[in-house]
Amino acid sequence: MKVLFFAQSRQATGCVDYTLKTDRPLSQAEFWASLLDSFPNLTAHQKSARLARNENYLLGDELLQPGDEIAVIPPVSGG
Amino acid sequence: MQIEIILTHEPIAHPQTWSVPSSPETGSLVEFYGIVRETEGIEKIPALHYEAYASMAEKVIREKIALLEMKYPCQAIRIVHRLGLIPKGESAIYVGLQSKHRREGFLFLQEFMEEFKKDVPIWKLT
Repeated sequence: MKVLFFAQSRQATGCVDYTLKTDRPLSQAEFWASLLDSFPNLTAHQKSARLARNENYLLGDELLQPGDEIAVIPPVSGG
Repeated sequence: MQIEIILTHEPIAHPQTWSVPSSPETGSLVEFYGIVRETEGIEKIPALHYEAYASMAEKVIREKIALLEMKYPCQAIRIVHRLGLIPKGESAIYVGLQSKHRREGFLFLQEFMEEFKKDVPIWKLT
């Protein structure tokens, strides 16, 4: 599962992307637990960040599939 | 509806040149330039840095336009968002709307900017 980081999430992790190794679908809670284990500095951003799967915001408790591209989206501020 | 979406690291020209010719039915052009202020909160800043999740940003913009178009039919929209370092006083975004009458252009633009600021994955960093 490829994970993309932008803005504050990129600053917190120090990288633009990361491969989260999993061979089974993950709940969003499992996803965050695994991510925070690798990037503890992301903890401060978890509450405010949204997740997008394959360029669509997650709306419910959808499972994340191993082949998905997940973006960690901090509060947006364009315009 | 004609749609032009441009994410660029180049300065935003003023006035803008549309690549779409105006329809003979166009009676209104409503334009908005969003400009980098000298202050961000209480802090004085020389510039802001903008970054985007470009492919998703374009996708979300198109979704917003599709929804608003049903409420406020317009003929064309042009959106230019500058990325990278933008000095104070320069434009970060341009949005222009061509419509038959001014009302739908103003309303579309107002709601579009609200939606843009809520969901389009672009960030400003000081």
